[in-house]
Amino acid sequence: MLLRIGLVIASAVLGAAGGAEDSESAVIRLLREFTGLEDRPWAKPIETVDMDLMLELVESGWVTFHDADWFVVKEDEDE
Amino acid sequence: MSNRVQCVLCPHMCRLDPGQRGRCRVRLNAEGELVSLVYGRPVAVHVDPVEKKPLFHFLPGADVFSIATAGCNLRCDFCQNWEISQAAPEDVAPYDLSPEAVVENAKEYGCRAIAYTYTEPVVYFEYARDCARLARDEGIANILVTAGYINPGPLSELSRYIDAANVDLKSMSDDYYREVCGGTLDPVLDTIMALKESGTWVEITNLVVPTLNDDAEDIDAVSRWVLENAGPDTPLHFSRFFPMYRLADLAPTPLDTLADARQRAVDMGLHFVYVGNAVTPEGMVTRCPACGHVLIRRQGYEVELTGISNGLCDSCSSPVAGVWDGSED
Repeated sequence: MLLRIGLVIASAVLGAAGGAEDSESAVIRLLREFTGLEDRPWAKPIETVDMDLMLELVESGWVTFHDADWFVVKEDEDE
Repeated sequence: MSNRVQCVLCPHMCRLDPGQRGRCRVRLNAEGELVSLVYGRPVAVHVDPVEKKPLFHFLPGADVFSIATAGCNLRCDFCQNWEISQAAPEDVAPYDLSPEAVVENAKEYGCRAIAYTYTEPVVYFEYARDCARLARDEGIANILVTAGYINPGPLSELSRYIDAANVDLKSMSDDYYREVCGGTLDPVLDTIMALKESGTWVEITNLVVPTLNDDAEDIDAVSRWVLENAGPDTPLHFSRFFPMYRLADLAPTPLDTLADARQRAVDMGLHFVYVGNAVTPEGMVTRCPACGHVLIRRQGYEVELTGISNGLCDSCSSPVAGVWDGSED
């Protein structure tokens, strides 16, 4: 695994893996996989957003904070 | 309290801490409540012919008011609408269009249906559902154009208002779904069957991508599943790939590949097999499965109903599967 990460980092530095962005996301993906943080490494990642920006966008009407359905609250003991 | 939530809309089942959004990029944990960032904020609004969805057996020639928000729960390397499907909502300028306004616009433009399309309607579930509910009350049909990556509960709620659907069946390989699309196969198959069972008119599209899913084995696997599960009257569209997104270096699907795929599916026993995004002989012609009479010819999005009336073949009077003007479906 460390060898794979090393290879991807090297390819990012050398720009030999089809673009810096792809290489960067590949590194992030591998790190997530390695640390066990990502249970679906083949899927798009879960992102943390800039909440201040989001609130500004809500204020301007660009995005909404409309109540969504089909979710459950995870209690601490569920974790 | 951790304020952690789990979105159960789609099979990803994203577990989100406050400030995180799901893989679709449009559903956010805002202090312990899941919110939709795109409700009433479509980024694409057009009037299309129903044939563009593609739906070939549902009110042919009808205009359809078509909307999409940003976001998708898959990440297909070949996505033909990636500029909006893979975008975050903050990156694409939206319209401000409430469900009421969507329905009013549809009526104003003389559209007989509203399509939730272009990106992935599953991720704007609440908006699509509310539009669809209002449209149904106004006698306007609802069309879902989807990859089918949704959990059964939400699908059941949404399909109550859906009259027709085109579902992408990208491959019969779970590895393909994971590696190329960032999803899994089984939920898609379940969605197709659930839609069929709900009485929704269903057509299926398979995008044929050179080198990835274009060999005879791949084609036959898709055709066989449709035949044995959705049934021989379920229209199957083999769609031509054009270089796009992460597969910009691939060539477009050769026309021969598409024509061959169509012929193999017809030979297998499917009654209605079409070729999309390309012109091939017979690729856009509907024939009566009973007598072979030409029922409908299409050129581009022009439709000529030459041999069908009230859902019956003009030659042998056999009923033709679909939803037609004047038919009892």
